[in-house]
Amino acid sequence: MAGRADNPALARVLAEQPDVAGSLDALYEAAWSVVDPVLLELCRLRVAKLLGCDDEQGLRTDAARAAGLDEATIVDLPAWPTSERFGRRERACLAFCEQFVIDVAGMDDGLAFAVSDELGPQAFRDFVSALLVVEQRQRLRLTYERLFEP
Amino acid sequence: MRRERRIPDGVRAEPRLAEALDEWQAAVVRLARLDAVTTELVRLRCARYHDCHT
Repeated sequence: MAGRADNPALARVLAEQPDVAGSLDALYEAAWSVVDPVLLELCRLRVAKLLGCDDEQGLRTDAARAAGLDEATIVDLPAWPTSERFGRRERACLAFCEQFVIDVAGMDDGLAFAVSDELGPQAFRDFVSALLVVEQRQRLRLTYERLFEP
Repeated sequence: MRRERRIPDGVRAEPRLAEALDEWQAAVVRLARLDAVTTELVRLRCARYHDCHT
């Protein structure tokens, strides 16, 4: 699993904070270990697009590729609401993901239950936690890059 | 409108992920370069933004 190696800005900023850096790496690995990697990869790439994180958009996660996510599906990701490459499960997660990024406090029951109905309550809970990790890590990356490495 | 909780009672985060989240948050809280007042103001501002009442 990619850690600080794929995120040089984080690595440099956190070099003097090994506890934070190490625990963030462990957290990132844990997130990918408990959620369907294809779903999480689609969300990671969607988060990257919405936040304008170009480096993250260029990365691919091995676990997702191994689980069957192909490049054609990634190319179609901006068209997820209508593309036939995305089923109900993926659409529910991507709709939730977009609201999560744009305005998490505005998340309504419809978006939440759509994911829970598709994944089940346990996987829904883990998906939300993993999405938080993926999103926050990209926000940290962007913040550090813009603040410290203009 | 559905009346049940979004996450039913008794559904806990997967232990490995929950422990990793706890450890990361603890590591962040242990950072001491930023003064406590500023830290708290930022925390409260984030809570308000995220509509987090806890």
